[in-house]
Amino acid sequence: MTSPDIESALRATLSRPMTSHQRVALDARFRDRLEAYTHSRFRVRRRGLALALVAAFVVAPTVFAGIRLTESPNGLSPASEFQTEIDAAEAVVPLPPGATWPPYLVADKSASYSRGGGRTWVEFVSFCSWDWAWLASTASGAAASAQADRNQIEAATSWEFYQGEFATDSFRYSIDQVIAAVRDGDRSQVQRFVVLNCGA
Amino acid sequence: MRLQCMNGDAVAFEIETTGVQPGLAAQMLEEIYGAHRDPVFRYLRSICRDEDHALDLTAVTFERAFAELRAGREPGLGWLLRTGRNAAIDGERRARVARLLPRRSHVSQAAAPSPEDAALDAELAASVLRALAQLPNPQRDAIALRYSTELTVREIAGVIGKSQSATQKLLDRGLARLKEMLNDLA
Repeated sequence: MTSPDIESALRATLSRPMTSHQRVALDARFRDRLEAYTHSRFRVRRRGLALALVAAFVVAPTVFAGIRLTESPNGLSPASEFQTEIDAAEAVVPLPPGATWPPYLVADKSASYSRGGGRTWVEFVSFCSWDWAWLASTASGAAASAQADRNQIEAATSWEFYQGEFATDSFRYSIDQVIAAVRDGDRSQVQRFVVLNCGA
Repeated sequence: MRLQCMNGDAVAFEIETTGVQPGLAAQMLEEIYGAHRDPVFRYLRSICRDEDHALDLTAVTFERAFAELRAGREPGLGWLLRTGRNAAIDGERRARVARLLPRRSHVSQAAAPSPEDAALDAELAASVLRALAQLPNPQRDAIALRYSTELTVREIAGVIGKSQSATQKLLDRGLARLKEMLNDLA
């Protein structure tokens, strides 16, 4: 057997396509594993987040209340007050047509929050939603929608989350980069931002 | 972005800014799965010889890809092949233990021969697979990647973590050894 014969035999043996039976079996196993993974991960994540919130919001303020070592510019507020901030912001901060506020945008009743941060949080979520909308509009070639989305994204520099006391220079720089990418029509940069920053 | 109230070292509030929205990750995974399912399976079938096990390993590989996507990284074909290879190596270690236990009879529908398989020169294919299984793992890996997925030497080197020249040597030596074995059989 010559080398070309061997290469030919290897190719024929190793690169033969999946059979329809194999494809069906693989698809089923893939879906099963994905479903199991998704359920187990989100259960753990929620529980972990809840524990972290309890530790950070409840224990820490109790322990340190006497020495008042807070870096929050306006001090802490209870969850009910923070929820009121969120509700008020949701009533006025714009969302793309058809979009709704995500379910995670609520205050945990067992926690304390930075006073004034509710609006900033809501605006950040809104900014993400407009980014998603712009990606969808540009992907589908809906020029008018894309322009409307772009206008909202550009207007974000006048929002409190960009101008206010919680924004840092590095945060503003990140937002500026997204706006520049939208102006340039650079979908990959915008997609990268939302993938990295706009999770639940 | 952080909204925080620090008490000593304790961060009282911080907005989560990492991680991928599950819906987007699932959508991206569908695309990756559709594009790379076949080559990943072909490679894994080449190195583990049990097609049913190769199907499991392929599913595991894409499950891990979902975790990568959720973490904000995009797994390409090289990453998938590396991950599948690692899963196969782990599986091989476990199989060594399993071989000590009684085996249950198991006939998989997925392993049923297809018309394509039947059309192949079955005897030659079996000989090739037997010979391939006798190669040292690095040579077998390099050859499996080359002929099951048509990767270049450079791409193969990336998957198996060796230099291009070392990878080329593995391919050359593996092919030479296969030639000897198959000629001995003939």
